Amino acid sequence: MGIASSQSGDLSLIQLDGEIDIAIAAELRASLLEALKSGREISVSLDAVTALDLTAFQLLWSAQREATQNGLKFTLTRELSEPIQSSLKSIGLDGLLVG
Amino acid sequence: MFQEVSNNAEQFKQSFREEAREILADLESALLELNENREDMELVGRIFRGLHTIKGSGAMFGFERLAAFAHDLETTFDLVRNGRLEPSSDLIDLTLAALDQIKAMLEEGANGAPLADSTVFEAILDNVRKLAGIAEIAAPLKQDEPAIESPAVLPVEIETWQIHFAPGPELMRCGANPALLLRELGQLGCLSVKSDTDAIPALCELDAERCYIAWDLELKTGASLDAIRDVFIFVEDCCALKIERAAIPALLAAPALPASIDAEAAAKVLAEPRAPKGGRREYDAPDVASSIRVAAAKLDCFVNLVGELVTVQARLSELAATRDDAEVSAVAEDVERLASALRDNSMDMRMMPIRGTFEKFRRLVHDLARSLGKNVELSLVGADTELDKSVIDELNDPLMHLVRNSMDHGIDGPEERAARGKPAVASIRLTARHAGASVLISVTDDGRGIDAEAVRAKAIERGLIGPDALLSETEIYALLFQPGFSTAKQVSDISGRGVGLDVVRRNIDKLRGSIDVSSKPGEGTTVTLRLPLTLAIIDGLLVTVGKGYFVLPLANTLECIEISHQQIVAADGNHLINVRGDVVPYIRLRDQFEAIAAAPLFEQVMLVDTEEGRYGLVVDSVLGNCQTMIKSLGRVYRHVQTISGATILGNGMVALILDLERLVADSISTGRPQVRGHPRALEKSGAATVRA
Repeated sequence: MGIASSQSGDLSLIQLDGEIDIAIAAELRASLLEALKSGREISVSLDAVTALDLTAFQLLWSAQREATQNGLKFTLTRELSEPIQSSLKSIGLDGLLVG
Repeated sequence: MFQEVSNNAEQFKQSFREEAREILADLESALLELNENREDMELVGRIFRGLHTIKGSGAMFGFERLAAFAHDLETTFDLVRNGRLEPSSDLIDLTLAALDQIKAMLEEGANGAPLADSTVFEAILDNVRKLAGIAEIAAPLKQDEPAIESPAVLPVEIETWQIHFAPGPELMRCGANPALLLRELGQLGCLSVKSDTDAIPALCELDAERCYIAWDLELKTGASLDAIRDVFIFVEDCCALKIERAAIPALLAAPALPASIDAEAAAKVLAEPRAPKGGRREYDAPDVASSIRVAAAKLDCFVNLVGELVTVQARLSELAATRDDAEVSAVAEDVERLASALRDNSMDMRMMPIRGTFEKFRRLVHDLARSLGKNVELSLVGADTELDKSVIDELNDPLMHLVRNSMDHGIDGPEERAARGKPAVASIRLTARHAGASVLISVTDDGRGIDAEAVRAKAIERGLIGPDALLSETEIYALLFQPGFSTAKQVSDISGRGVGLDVVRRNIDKLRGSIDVSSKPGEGTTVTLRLPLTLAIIDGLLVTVGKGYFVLPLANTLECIEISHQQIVAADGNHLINVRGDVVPYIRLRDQFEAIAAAPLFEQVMLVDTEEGRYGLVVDSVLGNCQTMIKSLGRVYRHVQTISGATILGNGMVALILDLERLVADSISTGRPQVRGHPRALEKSGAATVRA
């Protein structure tokens, strides 16, 4: 459970695992900032994510916006799982994070 | 790590329990008040909010069964609040019973308490549902299906509400989760959600633990504005909230929601540049709590340590006095001043209003009145009077016995009252007030009063007194508190086993208190408990007798006069002294404690105020004031009644603290000095005369 960051070639990879919520939001923010600073393409893996809360959403959304503004490619490795999509939908945040 | 998490969870549960107990106590008083004043919608609102809080926090801390149970009650009171259900006495009784169940559920699992019996609360819920006239408020409770949330299924008008909700910076730090709030809102009806993410700042400026998203919501529901507001009840201080009916654009939410601002203003606030880290927004809730919860054991430990400090300080002062060193003396004086302030402060921390104990009796009186078929009103006077927590803890039982006794023996049934021309509603009054270093707590009823003759006859029958014993009224009333005494013709559930008042006396004795009874036949009875303000530290007067040190509680001492050895001898065993024309009996502690050291030429008579009147205690010398931490003498000396404890002096010696009331009472019962007969006779008998 948690966050693993790695860099290979032109790619910064952030792998998220388990519940991504306020408890590790600060850590996620640091990882995303580092990835943005590196100027590489950013890829966030959500394969093993079981839950994603508001704070995690805000961070990913902000990072995505910033990367796009800086001309960096920002991808999520796959679509969010159905339960996560549905929980984001219930608070009106579905469809904002794009893969 | 896991251990830590589970410890934390247990800690949260514990604080929820503490909070819930307070809320339950408040709910109980509110319900009983509602019973007397059925029209009071403010009370209904208070009950609803209490149940809502218990439900909400209960679910948050893992008390799902409790939350589900409270939910159904809450729904019922929502009906009452909306005027769709009458707050009948049946409903109030059922809700009181339900609160007992919630109490049981609250304690489930704590300290190995068993699970509450689910059949009992199923039965209560069934009755509540029947009473509310609704088929099912919620599906029947099952243990594995907790927290069923479904809106009341009554035919109601569906309305559309526009809600703007913008969390403030502190909202998530308070433990609230906007997603859960929206989910709860969704359960009220059909909710459509539109989020506004514009305020999410750049990553480097983003506070990871704050919610920047705002929502515009549309809710179609039959629920009232109050029900919608209640979803936000815990967060209304730390969010911007606007609720308005879609059809009527006027603002409805304004008055009760201080944080309410309009959507534009909210958007502006959220869109403006982020404050520097640590900065504060206008609508930040203050993060300094006005009070904190401290475990009683920690407080006890603290007071104990302060007591030890006072002892050590006394020793320091004594050492400083023996050395002629100005610097050391100055430090010792500073320490003395600080220790004294610390002592007062720590004592003050333990002081609590007696209201909590008093309020509990509303329920007792209500239930007893029901079961005895009597109409009784309880009034509380001086409930904000403060006294030491340990005294309050010990007061519950004695007061309960006294109130039960008044309800059962004191107050007549409605017919007898009518026959005596008394008002139909009987009254019991609990009063608390300060009197010097004591607190007086009285239980007063307007019942039939105590029949002194019946008490006397019973005491003779029981062999407590001889048939020809001459007893004053006070002495007769005191018999009521003797073990095994009961004048009730029949043993009832309420009292009458003859153990109650005995327990009262034992408990009050333990607190170094006393009991006074006054009664007028046909008019009523007042039982007054006189209790010390605190049990831990007292101001005392240090005296010596022979080679021993003794402490007299300063609160009881009046003045000090001298008596010569000659006068004592001249009195010829009549322990009486003439103080400015008044004859005062005295007890010579030398004789009492059989001191063998030679007596000084002049001894000191400390005049003390006791229940038996003014008494003198003759001691060898008076050393001065002292702050005294009372230590128990332990089990070995528990039969020594005239000593209430011991303390350690600055020089390391042990001083015994005298229980003046007991000392005097003991002297009287053993035939030592007391004023009997005409005072003039005493003068003739050679009472020593003192000119002060």
